[in-house]
Amino acid sequence: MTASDKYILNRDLYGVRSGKTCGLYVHIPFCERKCIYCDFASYPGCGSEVIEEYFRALTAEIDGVTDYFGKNLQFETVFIGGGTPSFVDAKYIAGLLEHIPVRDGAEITMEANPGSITAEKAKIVAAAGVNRISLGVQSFKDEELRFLGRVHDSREARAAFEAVRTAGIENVNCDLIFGFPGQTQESWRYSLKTAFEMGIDHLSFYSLQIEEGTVLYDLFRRGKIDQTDEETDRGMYAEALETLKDNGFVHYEISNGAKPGRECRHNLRYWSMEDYVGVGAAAHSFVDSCRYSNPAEIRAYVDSIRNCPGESGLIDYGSLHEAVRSDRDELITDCLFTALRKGEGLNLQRFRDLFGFDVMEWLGGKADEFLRDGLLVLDDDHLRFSRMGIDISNYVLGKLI
Amino acid sequence: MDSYRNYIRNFSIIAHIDHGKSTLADRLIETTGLVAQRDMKAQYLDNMDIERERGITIKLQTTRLHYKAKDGNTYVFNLIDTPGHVDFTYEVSRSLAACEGALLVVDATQGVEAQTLANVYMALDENLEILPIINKIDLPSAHSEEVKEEIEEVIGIDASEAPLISAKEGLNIGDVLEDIVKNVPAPGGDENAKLKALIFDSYYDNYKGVVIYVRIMDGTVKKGEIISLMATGADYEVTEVGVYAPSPVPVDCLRAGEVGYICASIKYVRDARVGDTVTHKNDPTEEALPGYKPVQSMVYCGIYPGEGEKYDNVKDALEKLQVNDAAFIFEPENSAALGYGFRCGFLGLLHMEIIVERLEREFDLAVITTSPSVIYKVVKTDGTVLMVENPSNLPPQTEIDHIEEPIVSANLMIPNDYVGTIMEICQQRRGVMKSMEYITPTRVTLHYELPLNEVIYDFFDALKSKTRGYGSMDYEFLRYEKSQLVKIDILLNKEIVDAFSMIVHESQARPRGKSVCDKLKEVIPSHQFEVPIQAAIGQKIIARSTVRALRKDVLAKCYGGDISRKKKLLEKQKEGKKRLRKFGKVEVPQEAFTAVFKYDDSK
Repeated sequence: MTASDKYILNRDLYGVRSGKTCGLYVHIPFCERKCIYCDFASYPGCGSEVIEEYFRALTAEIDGVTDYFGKNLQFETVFIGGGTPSFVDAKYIAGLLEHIPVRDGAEITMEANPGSITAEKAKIVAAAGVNRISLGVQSFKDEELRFLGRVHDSREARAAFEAVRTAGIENVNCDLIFGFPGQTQESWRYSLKTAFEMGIDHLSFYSLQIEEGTVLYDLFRRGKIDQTDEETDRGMYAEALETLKDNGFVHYEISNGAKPGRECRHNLRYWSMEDYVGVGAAAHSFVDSCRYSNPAEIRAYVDSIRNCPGESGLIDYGSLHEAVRSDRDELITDCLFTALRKGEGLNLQRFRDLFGFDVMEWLGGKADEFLRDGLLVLDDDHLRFSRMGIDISNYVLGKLI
Repeated sequence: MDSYRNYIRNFSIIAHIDHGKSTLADRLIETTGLVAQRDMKAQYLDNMDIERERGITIKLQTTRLHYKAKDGNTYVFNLIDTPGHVDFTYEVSRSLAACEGALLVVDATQGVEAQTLANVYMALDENLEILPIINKIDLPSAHSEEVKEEIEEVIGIDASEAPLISAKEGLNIGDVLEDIVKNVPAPGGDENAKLKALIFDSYYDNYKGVVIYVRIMDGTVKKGEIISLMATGADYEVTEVGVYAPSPVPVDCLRAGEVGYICASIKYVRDARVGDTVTHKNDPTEEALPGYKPVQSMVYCGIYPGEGEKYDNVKDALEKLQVNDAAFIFEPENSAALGYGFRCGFLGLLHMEIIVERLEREFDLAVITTSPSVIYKVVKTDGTVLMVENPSNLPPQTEIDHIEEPIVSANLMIPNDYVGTIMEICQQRRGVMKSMEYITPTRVTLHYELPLNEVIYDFFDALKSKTRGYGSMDYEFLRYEKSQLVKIDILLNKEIVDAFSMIVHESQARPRGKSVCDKLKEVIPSHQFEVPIQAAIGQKIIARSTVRALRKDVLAKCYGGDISRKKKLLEKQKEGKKRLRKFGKVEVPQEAFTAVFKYDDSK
């Protein structure tokens, strides 16, 4: 891994090798079928040979990572995402986890689809170390689930939750989507209510985004469906925030709420300029102020691992990527873009620690108008979006960075 | 007497836009062998990019051709290409004055158009021999015989011998060349008389300074002589004389009857005005050539640096354009909304569009243009008269006794099917019909008196759109006339943006105000707050619209450590910022300024 001589964040003077904390993202790009809104790197219809081959490559990459960063590397968080990690045989997940060094008390999350996570699978992955499950429920209304192209129904969602709990996993997230055609304020309220009644520990609630290249985009472009109007969308968002509050959840990121202490530590790393290594197809990494990523296609990814030089079956991870080191302003804007997503906002002291000067100094008055209008809030410790500011945070960020 | 002059033919080509003037010029050049066919770009004489793209000639060009005629003699043809738009009428008239003949190109499918007529009358005024040529005979819809009759009927010249050609296909071009030899008179003049030369164009050359195109009427001019320009009274030493073939070729001297160029270290094009007379300083002619007319700007607008653009860069570019364009004037002005910029004067709307386009293309500048305006004559209560070309400079209503506006006399030539529609357009724009003639059973000329401010607003677009491009028009200034005019101000978020202010007739105030409010509503992006848009006369609001506040612009998901979303957002913002201009708290895209004044077909 070589990087040009650009900006290095202050904390990187210590480096991952000398014991700095790090997260690990593992991408499982397999799915039973593609949902109409999905633009992630996920590929339905892959045969067992492809899956087998993929996990071999993935294991090789993980071994390469641990070898490259050395003995001191122990992951603080692991996030197995997709795709649908629950789609593949649980032995693959368990097998991977055997290769991943983690610290005591590490948060190990796996994403699961209610249609494919069984009591058996839940038990196996729990035994292998998974202690947090993120369930892609999306809605508790069956007709809505059908529209979205999900493979499960609401009954399966409830059953999946029970299976996960029975397997001993105490930290469970539920993903819900709002603002899609056909959904009403009432049906959204119902989905929220049902999720909380089930006893979730964490809620991700996403406003539907129509992404190019998805089935949904095609429907929208051809005028088959309308985009949910902004008022309705924001009404649903407000509903979610109310429900979080009523249930004693902390609204800790734009689209996330959790019981106090159950915030997703892995995702918080992304929003706090902390290091993470991504393995698998399309995975992104941010290590020692460098960014790099893997090929998005399964074949290209597997080939990249295969063709990576190395001795005695171990790949030389350092030669796998062309790492990109950002310049200072790019890192600052990354920092603002991610940190301001958090409920607490940007920690001013942490910014000073990273860059050596004050964020307000860098903004040079660009935030003033928004502070005055109450879209941004500044106190002694943090700069953050107000409730009002969140709704148009892209607009404000665009003016700030 | 067998003078060299007997073997010179000076002529122009006149035609309506798109009737094929430039293509014919190309063929003449090609056929006489001046430019090898492989070097021919389409429309050789239109050498500005904009000209070639728009298919119009803005700056006229001249070139010398050698033609070996059937009589065995070799003739020198001086082809003077002319601009083909109503804005450049004066330039056309001066280049015609440099000729003895004019080729009148008429489209065999379209017949005689208003522009054709206007140019023919100009040519007749200069006593030119007119050679009609019927072009585009290769097209299936050509009706050459009827067009010939139309020419005879409308213009009153014999068209029976007119060559029938297709310039595009190179058909019968030889006929045209022989026609020129036979029917364009050889130039008169006396090479031994005192120097008298007509300037019919000029341009700026980075190395030579201003190059002036001249037709020598009498006398001879040589390098090293001191010349005097009679209208401006300035003297210069001639550094080079030459002819265009079609690139400049220096010659020893230019004699009476010839067409060529003179370089004399002249700094600005405006110092060598079209129509001026060149003579010798020490042995001047008694009398200047007739017809000199200082350039009169008819249309004004403000040009301001766009967001992030430097004032000095715009100024430099305007100066460079002016060096080459005697008809374009500018002076610094100040707008509360736009800061420091320039008030610019143009011959007409097309001229304005061309200048703005050249600023953007040739100088890569982002500029904002304010609404075009004419010059109003404001008579104040104390009797003083004020000429106002910028609506913002209109004195308070209480100080105004009355306002006068320029009225033009316009000739509109249209197919008779559209008479009703066009009369309606003219009426909506306060036109007064003077007369109407049937040129042929299917073609009509309407004579109107129209306020110029209506003509420059969207008249051409309306005319073209309502007649599917078949209508044509020309106009000239007639007089100032007292009129009920009011100034409309546009307020964004309760603050006046002076760049949008305009002067309109009282009867049009409400619809115009409404139209501007509606158009601005479409182009101004949503802000974090609601943006009211109002049109007002003084304190009175006459129209309004509202840009609703932005309700949602938020990224739902930022996961997996992929921050490429940020890049997308940044790029979108960066692209947007470049085109946005901030007024108070409101950001307005640059295109808003032009969008507001564009013709709306749905009306």
